[in-house]
Amino acid sequence: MSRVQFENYSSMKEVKEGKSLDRTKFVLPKDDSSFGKKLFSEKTICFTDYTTSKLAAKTCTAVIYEKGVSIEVNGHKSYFDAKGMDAIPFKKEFTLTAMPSEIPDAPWQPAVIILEDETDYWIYTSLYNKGDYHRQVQRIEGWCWGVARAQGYKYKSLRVN
Amino acid sequence: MKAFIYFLVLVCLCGCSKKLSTKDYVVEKMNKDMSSAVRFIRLTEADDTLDLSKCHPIDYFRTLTPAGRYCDMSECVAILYKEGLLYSVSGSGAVYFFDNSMLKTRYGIFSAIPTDDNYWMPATVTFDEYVAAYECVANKTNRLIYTENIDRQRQKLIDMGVKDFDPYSVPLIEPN
Repeated sequence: MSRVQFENYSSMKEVKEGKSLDRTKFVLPKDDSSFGKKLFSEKTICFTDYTTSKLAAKTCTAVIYEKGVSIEVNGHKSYFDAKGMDAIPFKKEFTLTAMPSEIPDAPWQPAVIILEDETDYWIYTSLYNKGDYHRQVQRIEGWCWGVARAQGYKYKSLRVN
Repeated sequence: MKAFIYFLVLVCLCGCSKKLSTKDYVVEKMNKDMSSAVRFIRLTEADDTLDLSKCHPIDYFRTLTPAGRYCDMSECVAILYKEGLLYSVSGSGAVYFFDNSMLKTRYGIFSAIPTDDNYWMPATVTFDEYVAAYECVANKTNRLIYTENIDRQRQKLIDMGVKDFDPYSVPLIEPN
């Protein structure tokens, strides 16, 4: 019995769904040299971490390539390869924006919006998951949009014109 | 007086051997389950590695589980350690260890109840002559209770080929 190696889990949900990957161990490309042709870019609103004292809206510039994307927020640009992405929006079929991240060298990670028809809140969910079932999420409620509006962004419009 | 002392020793030996036989059976069965298991699941709040050889066994249980939506009643062996609860269910392919902090209680007769997705949760069981009631004792879970008819359980043990069991202690499987 003593030779048996147990796997540690914090809940039966984790046992069933698997453990989330340690995002601090993700290694990102240094540039876009392996991403192929540039397809298009878009500017959107993203939000810093969700506390009243720190919350701020930022502009995210995403560049979409054939095999990856780059995300630039606050002058910091990070590169994400297609192998770690759940999907790449080749034809603008969904909006690519950013959310905070703990991936090394990437304070911001690519995200998509779900529940955007809800009037109460939107959910930003991580797109760079390396196959992990556990998506990171950021809940953006009405007051967050109020913060964005106070900074001069168009209220409840994700895209920056 | 001498005869009385012999009698006392005999009673003690019988009592001890009965308890030891359950312990020996559970340890042997647990070793067998472990050798065929494919998953060793520990529910914990700690990051350290579990070393069973450094844990302190306190009590041993051999029980019959309730039937689930997708499974029949099965034999469960469990060892209560000072540090937590170790249990396995025959045929499940998994052995579980719940740290104390992941258990609602450390008191009772320990068995397991199945989930719809084919896992087994720790449970305590109480029973009378008709019904056994199993209550999930995993922390942070909603109240979950299974009941099972005692006559069905007795029949199940006979079907399983368990020859020597006390019909009045079912779902505990104890020598008659």
